Amino acid sequence: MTIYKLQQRSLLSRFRTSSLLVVGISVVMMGSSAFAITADQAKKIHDRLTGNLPSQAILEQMMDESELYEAARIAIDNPVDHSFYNVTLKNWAAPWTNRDFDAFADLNDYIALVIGYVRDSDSAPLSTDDDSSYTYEGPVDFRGILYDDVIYRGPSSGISAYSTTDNNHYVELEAGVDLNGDPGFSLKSDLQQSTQSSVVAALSGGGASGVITSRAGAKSFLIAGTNRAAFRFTMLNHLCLDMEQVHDVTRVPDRIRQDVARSPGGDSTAFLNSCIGCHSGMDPMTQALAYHNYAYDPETDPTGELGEIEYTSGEVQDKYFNNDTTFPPGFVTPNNSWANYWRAGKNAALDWDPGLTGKGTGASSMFQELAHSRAFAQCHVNRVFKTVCLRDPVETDLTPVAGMISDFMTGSRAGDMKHVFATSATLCAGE
Amino acid sequence: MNITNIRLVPALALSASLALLVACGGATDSGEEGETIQQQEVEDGDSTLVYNGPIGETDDVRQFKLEVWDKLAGDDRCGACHNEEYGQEPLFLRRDDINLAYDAAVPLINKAVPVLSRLVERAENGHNPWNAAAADFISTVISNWATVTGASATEIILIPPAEDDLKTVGVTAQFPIESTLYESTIYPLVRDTASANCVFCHSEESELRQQPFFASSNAATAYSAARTLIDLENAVSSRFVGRMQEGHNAWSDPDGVMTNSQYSTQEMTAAINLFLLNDLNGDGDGDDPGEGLVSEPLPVEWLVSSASNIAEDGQIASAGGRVQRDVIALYQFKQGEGAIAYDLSGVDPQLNLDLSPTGVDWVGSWGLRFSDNGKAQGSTGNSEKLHDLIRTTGEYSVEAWVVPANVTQEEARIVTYSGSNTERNFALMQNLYDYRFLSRSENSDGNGMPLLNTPSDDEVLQATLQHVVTTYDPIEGRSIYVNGELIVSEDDGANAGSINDWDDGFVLAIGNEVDSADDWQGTIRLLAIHNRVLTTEQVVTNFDVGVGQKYFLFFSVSEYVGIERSFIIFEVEQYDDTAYLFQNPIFKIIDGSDTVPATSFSIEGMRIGINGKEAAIGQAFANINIEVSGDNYDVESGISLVNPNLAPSGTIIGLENGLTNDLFFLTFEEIGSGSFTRPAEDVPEVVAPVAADAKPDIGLRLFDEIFQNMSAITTVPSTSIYDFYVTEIRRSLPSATIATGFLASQQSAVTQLSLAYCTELVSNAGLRIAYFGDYGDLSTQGEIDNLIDPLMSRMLISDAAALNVSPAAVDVRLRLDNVGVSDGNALTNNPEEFDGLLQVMSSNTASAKATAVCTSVLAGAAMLMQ
Repeated sequence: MTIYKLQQRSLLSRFRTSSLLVVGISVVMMGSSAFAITADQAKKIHDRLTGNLPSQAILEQMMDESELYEAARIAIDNPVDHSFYNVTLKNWAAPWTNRDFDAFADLNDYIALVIGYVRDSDSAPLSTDDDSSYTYEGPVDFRGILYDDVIYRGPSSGISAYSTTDNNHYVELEAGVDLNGDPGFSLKSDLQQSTQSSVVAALSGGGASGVITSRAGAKSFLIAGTNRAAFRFTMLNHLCLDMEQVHDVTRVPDRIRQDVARSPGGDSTAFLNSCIGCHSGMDPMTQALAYHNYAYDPETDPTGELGEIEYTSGEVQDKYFNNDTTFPPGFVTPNNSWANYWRAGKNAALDWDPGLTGKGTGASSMFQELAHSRAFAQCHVNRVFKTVCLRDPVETDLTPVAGMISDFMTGSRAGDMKHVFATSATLCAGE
Repeated sequence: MNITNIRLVPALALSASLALLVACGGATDSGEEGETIQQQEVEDGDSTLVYNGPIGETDDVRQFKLEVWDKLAGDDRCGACHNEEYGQEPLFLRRDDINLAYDAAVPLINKAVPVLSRLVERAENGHNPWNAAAADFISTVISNWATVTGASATEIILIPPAEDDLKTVGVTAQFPIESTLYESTIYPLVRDTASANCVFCHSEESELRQQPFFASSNAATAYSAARTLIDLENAVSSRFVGRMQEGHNAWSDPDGVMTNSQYSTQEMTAAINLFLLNDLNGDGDGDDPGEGLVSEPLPVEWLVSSASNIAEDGQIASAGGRVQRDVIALYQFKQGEGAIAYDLSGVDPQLNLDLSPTGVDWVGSWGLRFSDNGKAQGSTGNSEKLHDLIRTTGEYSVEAWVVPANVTQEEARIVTYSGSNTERNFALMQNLYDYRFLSRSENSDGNGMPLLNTPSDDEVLQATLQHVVTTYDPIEGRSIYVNGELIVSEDDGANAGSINDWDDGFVLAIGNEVDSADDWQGTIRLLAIHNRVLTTEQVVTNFDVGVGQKYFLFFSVSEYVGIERSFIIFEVEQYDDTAYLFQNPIFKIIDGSDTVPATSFSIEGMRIGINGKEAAIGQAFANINIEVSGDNYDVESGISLVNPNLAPSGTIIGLENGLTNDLFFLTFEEIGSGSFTRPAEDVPEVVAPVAADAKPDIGLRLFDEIFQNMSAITTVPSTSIYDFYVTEIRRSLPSATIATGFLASQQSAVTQLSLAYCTELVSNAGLRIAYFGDYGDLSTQGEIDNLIDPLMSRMLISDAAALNVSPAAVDVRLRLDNVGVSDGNALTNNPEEFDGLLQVMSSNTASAKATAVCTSVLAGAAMLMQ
């Protein structure tokens, strides 16, 4: 473990002064362990992956392993503590589900899908994980969180049934979560996979696209507006890029809609130097969502608490024609075909999947385009690393992190997010 | 502009005779109205000119009398000379017989394109204009005549330049290939860590790694990223400078004289100017030998059309068709200079507006831009005509094309007819995203309140060009239209009624209150005040006509399609001071023979060039792919190059040297027999990850982790605490792991949550016994051990556990059960904390002691830190 004396003293002082009864930190350097995996390493791995102190039994079980990676897998998957799912993954995904990046957001179907897809992205499930209440429903590719026709719901009894018009099912599920779901619920063992097209009537005819068309995703990003938020926040949350970072004024601006002022405030340079840099790439991508909307009654339900997703196959949503007199010669959206103009120019550096064509029809293929970029892999791997290690990669981490990114994109571990968590934990387990 | 038909006229058949250009189409909506002929008096200073000759023989003559003769025949205008008494030919304003005057006027007037009328040209060329807007005035009255007689431009005759007049593309500066010039000019500034701030974000090695990486440590990478941020024509127009003007992380003036934004703008502009000056050696004088900016002709393999300049080659497209029969004050702001904005309505007296010395600027696309508390204001005497003419009808409309500069200004006066900021006859105002309309009537107060407001939630007002019309009807009350759509009307006309109490002492002002107390920031490009309510259809008509002068630009492509006189034709207008609008491109053969393509061919990948290079930004037609054949080509209208499913109908292109100088052309990837494969763009290198600085990798547990961790430690089901946790504690716990951000309030929340868990643990007999066994009354060391040891064990606080990162068990125990003595204690670092917790609580119950011990351990760093 690396801790600087000055900081240690400062922390110690802080905790002591905060309460008379608070116990301070003491770092006692002891001799090297006889075990292959030290107690410190095992504790740290468990701490970071689950948020919990391990029990003596789990600690010893982890220390009995010969590899840090195997120890990490025990912390993630053991019958007595499901906190990796109940807490770590839930808190990891919660900020992505709302525009305020609020980590305190209620459990919802967006978060549940992420948790479920980490659970089931496991390409090599542990045989030692003898949690009988848990049903493995993989392997799935974690990148499918953006584009698969999938939903994860809780148990069908004990809480309100899943509804397309409220979030009660997940709120009650979260309130009943306990350490390993016995008693109570567990987000490892009580989430069951299904398809949005079979559960959500509005999507029965198509249009499902992972978390994007989850109720929580739709409520946050397809509500009102122009659907550009769904694209922008996906870029932020899943490619770790805001629009300024992909700004490229040199792309062909032929799909910028009529609602974008070409002379904001009477100054076209603002459009030519600024607006166009994002809209020229964003608008042709967001066209994929032309049939999607989050329907609600703004009069009686201004925040859309009781709204639900809407999909009008073949009919472009009215929101795509908002403010169509702002620049009448602008692009008039005819359908939900999309194109990725950022495959050329500076954003080619996002390293798009050469196996995909960069154009298509509908939300699912467009979000697959995003999910299969290197930027997506890089974003999530780095974010997992920081979640687990509480810091960004240092020089010695660069090669293994690059390896994780590569593994996540191709090969037998492609799309295995659980593997990324476990591997990351080994990189900062200490000596 | 409504184009209902396009008729071709071969250039060779077109002599210079403008009469041939006159073309009449079907009637417009507006043309069907107001057929009643009225005798109108023309005031001429103190005298009034009254026509007493024979009545017009046809409707057209009678309308000519009303719309043209009445407006021009006075002694202060053309009528002073061009009448039978003075004898100056042509006698188009003779006063004895309107029919003869009409005959003389027709050859001098182009109803289809009024601005091309001989009368207008003469005034423009300085032939006795009575003021700076005389030509505009004549153009307007002719346009009005054309509109009411249904002769406005419903048919367009395209007149391309003669073959010999076609221009070729010139040569302008291009970016150098290598980064050398960038390295000697701009790069040192953006890399400078001592002054400029760019490098702290816009480089891969910076902590924030904000793209574009124009301050990359790799100069080639930096130059590649910087190219789109530099304007080779004008340093100030560069994105680099624009960001400084916005104050984007601007840096400070070491002399402390200028603001950060001003100083950074100056520095950045200077650096870019060095780039434009080819200052390769960095000595600041420019024009150095070596590879700098290059000026080369377009590559020979490019497929390039002829070139065209708007002023010389553009065909003026009529802006006629506006409904303004009842206009009583009209401002088109065409003249582009001067201290007066002239009233072009033709209704005397002219209500000309005086511009304030500062805060009002003319814009090139016709208009006035208001900023800095500027104002345009008429005189009280001339403003009185509004009072008089509107009171006559009891109704009116205020119509304007405006560009609000922002959506943050409140109660800003766009147009007002008022005496102060609390007294007015009417006003059109901006309040954030809303238009507001105040109109005085018998049922309002003296300020025209209550106001009519566009719905705030709809954010109707945007900081872009908008057509806004307010109408007042004595029965229906007030309405507001924006971009041709009725946005809001008074529900019940509650504030309608007579306007007889209007004050004739008020004045008309634009851009501010008359007392300059409520200024508006924005551009107004047209203002028309009508003394009638415009109907919804008329509002739409005027919206569709648009604002500003439009042109047709012709680009010859005969060379590639193998058909003489083949053109691609754009509608072009100056969109604002910094850009052109190119829209509705068509391919058309104008050879006078109704030729259609004999064989099919493609037009693909069209780009707009300006001044010797393709415009870097705005190439919205670059993806078009249109097949032209005899089957889809129409001899009247040609073929549109806009596929509505794949492309917009228009785009804007940055203005460089102005309408009179910029020379445009088109390039293609495929057209007719020509084909050009555009080289693939460079693929940028994937930026290698950069190692972060080493930091401690310890941190706090997060809120839910704390909640669940306590449950795991105590065995108390978290569900039993959940409600308390969610409602009272959750948002008070740490939401970030960084330990240095830990707050005392968070420790307080941790302690409260610990207390909740421990209370449950101690009070629930089942949980307590399973966890502690029997700690009795804590009177013996064994009972104390029964209380403390399970907690310590579950929290891995054990000196035997070989854990380096854990509190020392001996220290923890001393804090819990130490019995203080006057010397020899082990708490050498805290000698004042002599007695342990249990000793301090010796008079409390066992449950209280147990709860306290549990809470103190659970709330400690062993639980909190990870």
